[in-house]
Amino acid sequence: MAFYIAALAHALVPAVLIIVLWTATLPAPDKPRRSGLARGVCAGALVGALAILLAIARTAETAGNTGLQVAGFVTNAATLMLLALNVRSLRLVEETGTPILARFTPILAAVEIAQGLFAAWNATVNHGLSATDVVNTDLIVNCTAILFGAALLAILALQLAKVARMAGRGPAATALAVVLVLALAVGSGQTMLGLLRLDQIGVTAERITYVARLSVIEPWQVYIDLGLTLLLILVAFRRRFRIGVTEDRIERRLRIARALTQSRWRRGLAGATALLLAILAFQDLYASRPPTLSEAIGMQADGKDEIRIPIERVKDGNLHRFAYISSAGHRVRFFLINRYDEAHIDIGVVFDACMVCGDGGYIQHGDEVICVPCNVRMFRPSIGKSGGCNPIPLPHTVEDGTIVIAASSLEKGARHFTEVVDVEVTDPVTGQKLTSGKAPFQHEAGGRTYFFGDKDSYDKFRADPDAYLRGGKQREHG
Amino acid sequence: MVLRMLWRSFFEGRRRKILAAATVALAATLITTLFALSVDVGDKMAKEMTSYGSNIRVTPKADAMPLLIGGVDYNPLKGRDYLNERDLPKIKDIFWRNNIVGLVPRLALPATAEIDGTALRISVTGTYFDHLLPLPSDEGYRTGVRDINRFWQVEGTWPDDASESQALVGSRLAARLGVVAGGTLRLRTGDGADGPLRTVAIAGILTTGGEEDDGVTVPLAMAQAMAGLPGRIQSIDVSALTVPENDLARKARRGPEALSSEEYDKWYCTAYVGSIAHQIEEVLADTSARPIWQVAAGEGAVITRIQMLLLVVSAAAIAAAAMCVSALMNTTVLERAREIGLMKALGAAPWEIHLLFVGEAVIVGLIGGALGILAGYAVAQGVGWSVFQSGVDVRPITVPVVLAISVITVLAGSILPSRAIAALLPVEVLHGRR
Amino acid sequence: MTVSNQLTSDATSSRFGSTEQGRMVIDIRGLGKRFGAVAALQDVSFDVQRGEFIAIMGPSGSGKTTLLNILSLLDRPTEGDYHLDGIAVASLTEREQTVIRREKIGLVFQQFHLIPYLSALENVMLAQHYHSVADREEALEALEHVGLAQRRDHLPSQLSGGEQQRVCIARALINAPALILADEPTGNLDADNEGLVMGLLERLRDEGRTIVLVTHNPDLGERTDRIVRLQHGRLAS
Ligand SMILES: Nc1ncnc2c1ncn2[C@@H]1O[C@H](COP(=O)(O)OP(=O)(O)OP(=O)(O)O)[C@@H](O)[C@H]1O
Ligand SMILES: [Mg+2]
Repeated sequence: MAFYIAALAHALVPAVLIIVLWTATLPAPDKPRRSGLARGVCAGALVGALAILLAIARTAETAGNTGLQVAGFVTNAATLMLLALNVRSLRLVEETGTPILARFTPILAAVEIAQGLFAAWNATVNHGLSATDVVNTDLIVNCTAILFGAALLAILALQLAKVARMAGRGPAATALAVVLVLALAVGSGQTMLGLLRLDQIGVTAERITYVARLSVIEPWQVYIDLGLTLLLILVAFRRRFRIGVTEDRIERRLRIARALTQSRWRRGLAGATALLLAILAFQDLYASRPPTLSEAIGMQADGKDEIRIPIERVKDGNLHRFAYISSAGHRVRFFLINRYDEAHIDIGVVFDACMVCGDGGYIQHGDEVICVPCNVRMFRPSIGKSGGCNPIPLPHTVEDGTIVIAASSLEKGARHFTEVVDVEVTDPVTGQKLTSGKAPFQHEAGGRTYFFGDKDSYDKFRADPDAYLRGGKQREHG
Repeated sequence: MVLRMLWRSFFEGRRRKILAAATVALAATLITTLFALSVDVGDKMAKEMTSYGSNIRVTPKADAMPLLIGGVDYNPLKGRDYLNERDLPKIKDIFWRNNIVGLVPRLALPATAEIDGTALRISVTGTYFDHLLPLPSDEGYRTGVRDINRFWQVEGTWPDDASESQALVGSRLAARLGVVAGGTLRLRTGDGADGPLRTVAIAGILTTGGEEDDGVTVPLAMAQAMAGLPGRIQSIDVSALTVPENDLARKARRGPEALSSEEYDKWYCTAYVGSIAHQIEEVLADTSARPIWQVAAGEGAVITRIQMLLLVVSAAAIAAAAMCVSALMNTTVLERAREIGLMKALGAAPWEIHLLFVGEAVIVGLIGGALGILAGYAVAQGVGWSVFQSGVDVRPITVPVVLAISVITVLAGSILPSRAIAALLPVEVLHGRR
Repeated sequence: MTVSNQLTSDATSSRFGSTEQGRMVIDIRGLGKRFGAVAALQDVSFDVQRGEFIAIMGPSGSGKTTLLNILSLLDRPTEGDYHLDGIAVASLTEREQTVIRREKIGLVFQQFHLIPYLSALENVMLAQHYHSVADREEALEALEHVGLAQRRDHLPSQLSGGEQQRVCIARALINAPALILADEPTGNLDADNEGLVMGLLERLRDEGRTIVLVTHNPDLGERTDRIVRLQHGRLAS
């Protein structure tokens, strides 16, 4: 439910802000002429809807999105240029009292709305409204959420239009500039990503890095935009109409009414913004977060290169998670769980990773063990067997009430895990102490990873690993 | 001030307001009833689709049509294709083998129960209760209805799967025959008087709430022996741990061919009930594996077909109520024309006047809607009992939805009166000679 | 809202400006009003100074009510200029006229036109509400002014005609309008109440209010500063 409102906000708040702040930076026309803006918004909605239909018909989401991103980017750049190059020209007014640049408003509105709508659709398309076509609670709640989100944005736009005027054209223009720069940055990343996906431009490391960097900013865009809205409210508050002192009671009443009207708009906008922020925060920080894994207990191999865990400690039916740092610095998680009940103890010993879904891990929810990435429930007696989305079995032996896991088995499983910590390692050739993450060369042999300080020792090792390994062993033991 | 005016004018034109509220209440009653029925089934269907466990029925391909539900299948043995019992372990060998919790094979045959000289035609079903099914990966794998159908209740003891003379008698049948756990029953294969006869011990009385209550349930081996079909079964119910259906799963339901190869991989490697069924079909040649959607196949099918009709009827009710409200409000506006003219003359903005009248309309709509919900609740129960033989669980969502619809109805009804308000000229009402 | 806000402040400043400088509250030139073929008003020109109490008289159908409607911005003339308190009001939009009306004009009607379900006090406060914000204290004082403080919680149906008209006058003057327009305010009253209401209007004039009164009663006309006579829609000298 919050998902839809949040998706709408992420996609449309920048568009709403740009349109509204743009109109607020123009001088107020002598006669209100909103039809241009309304026509622009309608045209944008129409274009957006058409683009969505086209994308559905030809399964061309990426192409559609990229096309609109490009259009949005160009329009935003033009807006920023108009704003930056010639702030004075915004003040030029036609004979009819309409600002000349108001002619640009419909185009801006159309592009922004079309792009925002498409982005909103793109973000929600794979998130079914409901499990079945028959009218049901989910379907109604989700549809209501969409309507509510749209209404909230419309109200926000209306109130912002008032409050931005109260704050004045300077602050509105400043806020617009920030929103535009942000939108341009995010838009450029999106555009590049789209072009890369469509094979329109070649893949290079810099481009990937650029896209990756900007995709970090993207989720924060809406928060920054809404933060700016709150700042504008603050400015409007500081510049608020003050009642002052007057003997004339009628005049006083008029002033109270005026101050009251202003404060209603401010409070309304603050309320709408706060509500939107709360919904966004709920969705982004809480509802959409994957479940967190329980703490893993760190384990180290004993003198015999083994890890021993008494069955007594893990037989209670709960998932007991452990972690082992491999020679290469991989954090290898594994867990033990009693597959049956306390009366029939049979411990499953497995890596906390799955062949299909990777190292997202498993969580216990009541009696169920769930694979986090794919949400599949495990059939508990089957834990320890391979196949499907089961955790990868971890070879082990049982010695009088103790589970014994060889460190070498855990080393072999290190490739299933991506989480890496820096450990201190030794170059097997030179005996030099190194940090695993910073060692320039590494090589895998016999299920272990070895690190080297320079190319020379690396080549020597590769030529005859056994010589150095035996040597290493000897050194370790002796 | 606006609230005070709303409050003060609340009892003005009482009769008309009661009439308007009653109209809205009537429409709301109808909508509540239809909506409650539809949403009840819809929610059940959604719950079924989003649950983490599903059942799949595997039948021979030629048998793909659904089996007779409810009644006794009188001639199931002739000219039928069968599955082989020894193929069962193959199901535990698919990609999602670990998600398969249990397997329940079935073989049903017609038989005659004889007791004290009376003979009753019944259905005997053979199945696993808690059967040892050694798998290559798990020598000690046990499966059967005891594990899968946890809501089956047995008064007495469960039969031993290895025995050929123990049976469970369905509770309704037991009542008709007058037998109890611990007694015996003579079963004759087939519906004539010439089939082989065998005497079985009644290990327990079975209550499931389903068709088993009218029949006799026995270990599979015994049913195979009675039918003379050793090693054969008619169907397998597979219980699997699945993930909720989503768009991809729905798309795949139209046939895996519809998926792109990327989608197919994703679908195949996700534990949707559809992909598990698909994999079962892959390992068991000439079979058809179908998810069993209880609600979707039953009430869901009815509602899906009449949903459009429900929408049209509701829309008609809303339209009628809105027109009625419109007529009533128009009269109100005419009656209170001088008041409106005066407000305009005092300098009220048009929206301030609209707010007053629309506010009144909304209150009327809310009252009518609330009354309609109460009445609709009662009607829905009645309809539920007469159509589905069960009460209707009126979902909480009904309340806000019907209230919203009621308010929208009166708002739609106040469009024309609002135009009358806007068009009203103060000069014409304020200086009128009367 | 912005428009109305700006207008509010403009109007306010001009109100203050005119109290000190402009003496002319009403200034009409060549005013005409046609209803299809009927010419209700033709070439009417006159002005009213601040603080003046004038009467408009004339036979029935001579155009008095039509003139008053135009003066109160409830109707637009078909020709001619109208300056109210120094503002050319004829060219303003509906919304702008509404703002002017609620800030500059107080109306008294022959049929009183009180809201039937609101008390006397609330009827006065309603005018405050549409003007700016309701102020109970001030409204009470206005009722006191017309001698009805003790009847504040009574509904119009519980008041006599004269009392209702006094509530109406309290409502008309609550926002200190530049101009009070009264169309036959005593037309529905007996002689006693007529005297009472007329006395009230005279007192308002003494307090410096500008009042235009339409009446058929020559006695009342005599008690005003000046009489404007209408005949067949034209000024009669
Ligand atoms: N809406 C209208 N349509 C057509 N003619 C109108 C309209 N309003 C007024 N008239 C005509 O304009 C003329 C002036 O009418 P008005 O009401 O101003 O007279 P009056 O002086 O107020 O009369 P009375 O003393 O009876 O109130 C009359 O001839 C009347 O018929
Ligand atoms: Mg008249």
